[in-house]
Amino acid sequence: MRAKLFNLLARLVGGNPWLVLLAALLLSFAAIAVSSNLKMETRILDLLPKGDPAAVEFDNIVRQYSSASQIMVGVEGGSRDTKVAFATALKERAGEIVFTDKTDGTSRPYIKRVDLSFDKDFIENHAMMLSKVSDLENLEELFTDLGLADLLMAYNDFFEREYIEDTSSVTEREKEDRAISSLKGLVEWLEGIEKVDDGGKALDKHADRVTDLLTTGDRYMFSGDDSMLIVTLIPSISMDRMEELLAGVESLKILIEDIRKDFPDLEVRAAGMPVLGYEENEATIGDMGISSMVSLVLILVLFVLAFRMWTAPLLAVINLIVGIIWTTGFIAIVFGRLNIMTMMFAVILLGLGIDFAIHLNAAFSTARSEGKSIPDSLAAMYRRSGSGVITGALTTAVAFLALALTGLDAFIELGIVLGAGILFTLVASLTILPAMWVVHERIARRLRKGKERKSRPVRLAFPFLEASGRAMARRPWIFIGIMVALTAGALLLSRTAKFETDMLELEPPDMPSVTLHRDILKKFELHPDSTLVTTDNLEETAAIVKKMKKNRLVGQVDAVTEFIPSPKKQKKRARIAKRVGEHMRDYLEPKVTVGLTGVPAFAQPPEYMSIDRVDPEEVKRFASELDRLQMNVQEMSQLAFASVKKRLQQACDRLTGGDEPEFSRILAVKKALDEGSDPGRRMAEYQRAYIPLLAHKIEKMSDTSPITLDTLPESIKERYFSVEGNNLITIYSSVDLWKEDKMELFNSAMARVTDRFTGSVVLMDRLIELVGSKGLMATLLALGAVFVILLIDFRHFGYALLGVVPLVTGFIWMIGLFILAGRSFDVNNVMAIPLILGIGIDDAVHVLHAIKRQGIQSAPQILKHTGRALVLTSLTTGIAFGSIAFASHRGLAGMGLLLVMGVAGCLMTSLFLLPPIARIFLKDKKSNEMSKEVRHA
Amino acid sequence: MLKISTVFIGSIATAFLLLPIAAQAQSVADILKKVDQSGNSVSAKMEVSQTVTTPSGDTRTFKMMSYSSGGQEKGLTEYLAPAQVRGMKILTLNDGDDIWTYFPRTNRVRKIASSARNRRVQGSDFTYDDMATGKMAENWKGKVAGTEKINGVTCYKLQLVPTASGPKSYSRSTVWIDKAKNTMLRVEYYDLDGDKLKRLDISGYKKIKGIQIPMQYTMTNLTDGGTTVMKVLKVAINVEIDPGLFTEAGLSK
Repeated sequence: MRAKLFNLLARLVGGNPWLVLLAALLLSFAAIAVSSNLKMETRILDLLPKGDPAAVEFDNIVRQYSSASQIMVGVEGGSRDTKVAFATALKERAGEIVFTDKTDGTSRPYIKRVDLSFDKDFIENHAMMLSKVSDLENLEELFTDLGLADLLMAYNDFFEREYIEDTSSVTEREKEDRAISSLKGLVEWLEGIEKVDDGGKALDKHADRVTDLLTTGDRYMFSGDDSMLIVTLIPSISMDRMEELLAGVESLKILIEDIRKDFPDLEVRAAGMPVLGYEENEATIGDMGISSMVSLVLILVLFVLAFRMWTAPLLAVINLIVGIIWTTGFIAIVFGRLNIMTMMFAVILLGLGIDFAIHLNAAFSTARSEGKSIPDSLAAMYRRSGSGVITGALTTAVAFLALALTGLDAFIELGIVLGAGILFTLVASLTILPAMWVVHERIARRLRKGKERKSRPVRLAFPFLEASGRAMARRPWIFIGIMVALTAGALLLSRTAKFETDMLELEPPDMPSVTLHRDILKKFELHPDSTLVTTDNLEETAAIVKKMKKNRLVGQVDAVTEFIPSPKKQKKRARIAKRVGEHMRDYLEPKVTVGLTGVPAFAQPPEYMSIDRVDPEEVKRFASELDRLQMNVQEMSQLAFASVKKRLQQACDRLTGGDEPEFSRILAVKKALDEGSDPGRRMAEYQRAYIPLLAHKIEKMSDTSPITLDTLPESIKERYFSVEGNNLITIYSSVDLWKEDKMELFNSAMARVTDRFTGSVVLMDRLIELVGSKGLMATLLALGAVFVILLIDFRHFGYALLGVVPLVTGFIWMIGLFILAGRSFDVNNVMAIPLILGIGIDDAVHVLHAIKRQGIQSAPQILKHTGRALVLTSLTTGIAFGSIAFASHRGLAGMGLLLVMGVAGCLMTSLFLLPPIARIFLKDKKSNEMSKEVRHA
Repeated sequence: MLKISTVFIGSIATAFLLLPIAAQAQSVADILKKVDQSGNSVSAKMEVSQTVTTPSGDTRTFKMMSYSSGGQEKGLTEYLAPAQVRGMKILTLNDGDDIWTYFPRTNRVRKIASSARNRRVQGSDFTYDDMATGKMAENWKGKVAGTEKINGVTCYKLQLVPTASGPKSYSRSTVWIDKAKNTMLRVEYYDLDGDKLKRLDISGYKKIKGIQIPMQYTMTNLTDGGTTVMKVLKVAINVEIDPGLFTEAGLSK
């Protein structure tokens, strides 16, 4: 069968080399044409099965809610005002970013909304209706009197009641956040006294800001220490239109850099799924480009060194490129995309496909050096190397294709792409490569005027191989013993294998979106990768929000129910809000005094407006309240420390000076008051500046008009509701969900509340689970496929079994070596594990073919010739995979390293374990008989 | 409340080591009564270390000195280390109904609100309820659900629900008591929704003055992964303790 095929190929290629090359060229052009639509989808999440419930839910959410594709911009450095100014400029200029809508070709704004501060008008008007009754009661007590001493005393009472006499409060996230916010506003309010002498607009501006802080809190999303400001950008397209979404990220980055020219002291980074996707694409495409080039050059150098010729390597590379082009066309037609795993197909084909060229080239060159004509050399090449190359390629391809039986899309794509790629490269190697040699030889002969070229001895002979073969023939058990001991060591090491669940650990370490992601988690204790849930009714949403807020793993829950309390709650809140509102109006409105008979009534201004100077006793009381505040905050700091609440502790220490009270901002206010002139006048003046504003804002907050879906601003509705009327809950964890144990706990907590949660972390968890179960299945299938091919090829159970031995032991070596290198397994490299079975089997196939051909007693010769070829082919494969090991994308790099170790492991076991075992277990008689048969044939 | 301690985490050891001595009988009531009887009229002084690991993985270790008197009716815990909290004290009187905190940095004493009883003690995974020392037999009722092995030790498995006077923050609990030594080895607490909330593992029992004393308590929050490990470093029981320590005025001395 094969002999017929080889004869046919020899006649076809030898007789019509130009025709073969023309056909290949036409096919390549066609493949290039269809490849132009090939998409790159590099997210790990693109590997999940399309029908997976969590993936389907995720797809639905990103399609229906553009807020799920949000981009976070982190602004650091400079002053608080500078950061706000930058963010404001970004908000103003965000409209400049446009994208070309692929559906109609029009240019449209890329950013739909920029969230720099909360929905100010709505919150300012309805803050009390949105607050819990207990918080309103606190607020009512706090704002009974707005004068400096009274308000500070009320704050002190509040801190003692809420945080010191209920020590557990500091352990609750909402209360911790409120304490941090209150302390920040409080100290800025107190420090305002020092601004009295500035007067005018500066004082008014300060009063406006501190009254905001005292009422609705910081309107911007600053970290507790004000070192980072987060601005959220909502793209106008959802994540299902990834290509357009990623293209917009590039424009956003350009815009940010342009704005940053006016703010040189700021550092600005962006994060979020679109940015991560964009940066991941940039890095991986760059990685693959560099890896392919590096491996191509190194393989060429090795080829030249080994065979002392330039043209053969060049022709081999052209042949490989054609194979890759055909495979690309195939991928474009069948899948239409490359994912994070399949995008490295070119490098893998470079490493594996060059082996075909090496074997064929060696046979062709040998035949030519023996003085054979070009047609005879072609026939000899097919006869000598064709069978081994075809068996090797088929075994590898079948092992890869077996992955398609796992049922997991990620494995199916990888298996089919690589399996088909090997077959395309094999076809190219058996047709185009010989055709090019024929053409080259004819041209060369013409140039040499009919003279045949002289053959040259090969370099890189690796003499140790022959010596090892001799030792092996004498003492096979020693080799077996050493190899078994090493395998046992690797097996022991494999028990210490670790699995990396952190998706960010797979990314390039210095990728800005990754570093910002980590910094947000550190500074805000919020994990940017949120968990998403949708419901079709607000009652269910409220129940989910309530339950999730109780869990310490949850940092923040964002849902529309936070803006629409139930009517019952609104009724209760309205009662208190009304009282507070009325009380504030007393501060604002002049009191009418009814005069005596005949004396006209007149309006009396509010008391605080008529005081030029507060009473000295009031000044003393204020000073003593400052001392009390210092002590309260010190105690809160101790409680926060005991409760391992770093953010609150740091917030407290920033005010009190921590262990260095001389740096206390609270005591600095007192000192300035003591040392400054006329403290009573300054206090009165400051009160006149802030009290009307504060009273006005509190009064505004007390609006008791019911909040309904109809009264809710569009900006809020748009964020939470889909067109179908479902609403979105976004849950941010307070811990690093990429850590496996946290991920499991969080997902368990979510599962107790709802079964419809999704998000990138949930999907990653699902992928890990699937890759774990299907990965084992893929490995076993690949092993089974390899065994069947060996059985068909050798028609001998013992040979087939022998072929599997170096593969399995090499596989164990790979795991052991990888662990020894201090690496962890992850979803990227685990998916590559079954591949090594297809790659590593080639070595065993060639050694077994040599044993069958020459007999096991020829071990020294087998190692000298076949061993040398295997070392060379393993080197080329290793170079290709090794070039990936240096990729900036750590997931790809780990996979490259794992494959290098797999290639090394399989080579070592095929060379030094397989022959001694064959020496002992394959009877010499049998092998001799077989070798006789082969020779006879 | 399910007996765990008197005052603070440090006192949990004292309470536990004195509680589960009996448990010979087969009925829950008998077992619980014997557990109640075991802890009375004993004073104790112990040095403990407490390591709190938060859900985010942050860890902090504290060293404390704990005193108890009057069968856990009074208790005092003083932080010894680290420096940020050194000298902080927590005084518990009337079986945990009255709690005061002393802050050395400000030299002030604060009474803790009684509403905080079902809340966490500082950042630990114990609540004040866990540490309260009401009578087991009065606060819990239930049934013996059979025997089970915990770390190779055969235990009575008790399924308990709180009585009307029992803890308000749990819907039920499961308790494992060593059949041979009558020591408590594990407690699982369920929240009001019926979900498993926390697990307390008690280990390292040593016999001191004829009493089985556990040397380690590990409370694990099963919903968020937070843990609190308390190790008894030194212990002295039936020792004389200055009654002045257990007063509000004594806190600032």
